[in-house]
Amino acid sequence: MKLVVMESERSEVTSERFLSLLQKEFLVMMLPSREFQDEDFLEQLEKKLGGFDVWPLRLERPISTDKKIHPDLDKAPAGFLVRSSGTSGTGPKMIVHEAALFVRKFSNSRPSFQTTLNFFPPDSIAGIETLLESTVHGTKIIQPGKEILPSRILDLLLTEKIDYLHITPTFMNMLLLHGLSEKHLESVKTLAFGSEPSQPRILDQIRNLKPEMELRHNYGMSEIGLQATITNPSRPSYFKFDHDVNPARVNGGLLEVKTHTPPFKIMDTLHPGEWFPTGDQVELSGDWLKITGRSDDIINVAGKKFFPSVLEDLFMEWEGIQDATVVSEPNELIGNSVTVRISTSTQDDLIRSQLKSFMEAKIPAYMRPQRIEILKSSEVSARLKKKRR
Amino acid sequence: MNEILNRAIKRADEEISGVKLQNLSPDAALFGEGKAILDSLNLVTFIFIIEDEFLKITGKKIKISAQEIVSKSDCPFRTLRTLEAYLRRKNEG
Repeated sequence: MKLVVMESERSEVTSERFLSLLQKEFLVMMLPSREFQDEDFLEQLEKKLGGFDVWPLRLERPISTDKKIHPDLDKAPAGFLVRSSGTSGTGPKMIVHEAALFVRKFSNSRPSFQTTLNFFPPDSIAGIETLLESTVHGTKIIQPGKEILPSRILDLLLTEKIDYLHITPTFMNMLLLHGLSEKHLESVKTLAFGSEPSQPRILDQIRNLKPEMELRHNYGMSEIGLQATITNPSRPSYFKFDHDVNPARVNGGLLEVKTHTPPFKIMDTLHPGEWFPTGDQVELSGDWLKITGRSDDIINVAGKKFFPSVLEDLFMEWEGIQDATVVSEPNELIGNSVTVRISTSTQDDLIRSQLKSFMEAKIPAYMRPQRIEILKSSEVSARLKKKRR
Repeated sequence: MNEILNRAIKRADEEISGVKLQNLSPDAALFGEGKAILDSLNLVTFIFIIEDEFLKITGKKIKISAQEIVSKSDCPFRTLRTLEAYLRRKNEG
C-alpha cells in the first residue's frame, strides 16, 4: 500500500496538495522538514510501518493557489497518518485515520471560526482538523510561518481579523508574558485551549483582559481527534462532554470516550474497543471534569501520589513565578525525586530564600521538590506544551 | 570540614525546611537513627546539593547511590564526620 509523505512546514504548498491527494484516495502523512529530508528516517519509517511503500512527494513549487478545492471526501476511502506527540506515554505512536469521518463531523456542525490561526502544525491532528474544517466550511486560515513565536502571534492578532484562537495553555502563558492585552483580543470571540492541563491563574488573567470572550476547553488526542465539549462558564478549567455527540465516562479515575472519529488503526497497538481509554486522569466536580494529568505522568514520592500539574498549580499561586514545570525521575530511596523548573525575572539567590517560605506555607512536605532549577525563560516542547521529558 | 561540605551545609539550611546543620556537632546523628536530623525526603535533597557542589568545586561529577546509603555499617550520612571522610575519599578516588 502506498503512503505519500509530505513536508508539513511548506504549508502554502502542502495544504492544497494534501487535500487533493485525499480526494484521489491516497493515504497521506505530513512530516516536519528535518524528517522529510532525512533519507534514513524515511527508511526507518517504512520498516516501522511494515506493509507500506513510503513515497516522498517532493514539491518544487506551489501549485496554483487560486485553484478552489471542493472536496467530496466523505465518499473517498482516503486517510491520513498522524503521530501522537510523545510528550507523555511511552513515545510516539503511528495512527491511521479515515478522512471521511472527519469531513462528516464538520459537515454536521456549524463552523467554529471565520478566520483562525494555524497554531498547530499540519502534521498534528489539531493542524489537520483545522485544515479539514476550513475546507468543509470555506473559512480562512492564517499561516503563522515556520516558527511560532509569541511576538509573531501578537502581531498577527493585531493585523488579522482572527475570531477563533486555539492554543496550548503553556503558550497562553507565554503570550501573557509577552504583553498580551485587550487590544490583541479585539476580534477574538473564542479562545480555545487544550492538549495539556490548564492553570486556573492563567485563565483568570485572560478572562480579566476580555470578560465577554468565550473561553473554550477543547479535548482531543491524536488517536480520536477533537471531541465535542461544553466548558464550565465560571470555571473554564472544568468541562464536560456533549453526550449527544461524544459519550464519556470515568472508569477508575481515568477518562474513556466514545468518538465518531475513532482511529482506523494504531500501529503496534491493539485496536481499542467501543470505549476509547484516553489515559487522562480526571478530577470530578459534579458532572464537570478537570484533566489533572496523564496516568503515566503520576509521581510517587515515598508512597504518596500526585500529578505534576497539581504541584505546578500550587507554584503558580505565587506571583513571583512566571511559569513552573514539574518533572520527576526514578529514585531508589523515595520512589521518585521531583524537580521544578521555574521561570522568573527575580534574582536567583533572592527567589530561593523566598521559595522556601512559600513552600513551607503552601506545599505539603511530600510534594516539595528535591531540586529547584531557575530558568530565564520557559522550556516548551515542539508542540508548544510543557516539556516534561 | 572541607569546602564542599561547608557550602552544602549552608545551602541545606537555606533550602530545606526545618533543617539546621551549621552548628551541628560532627558526631550527631544525621541520617538513619531515631533522632536523626534528616528524613529520607530531605536526605535526597541534601544528596543533590552535595553532588552539585562537588561538581562546582572539583569539576568531577559524582553519583551517590542508594546502595551506599542503605549500608548500615558504612553509610556516609551517619554523621557529618563520616560524610566529610566519604567526600574526601571521593575526591581522592
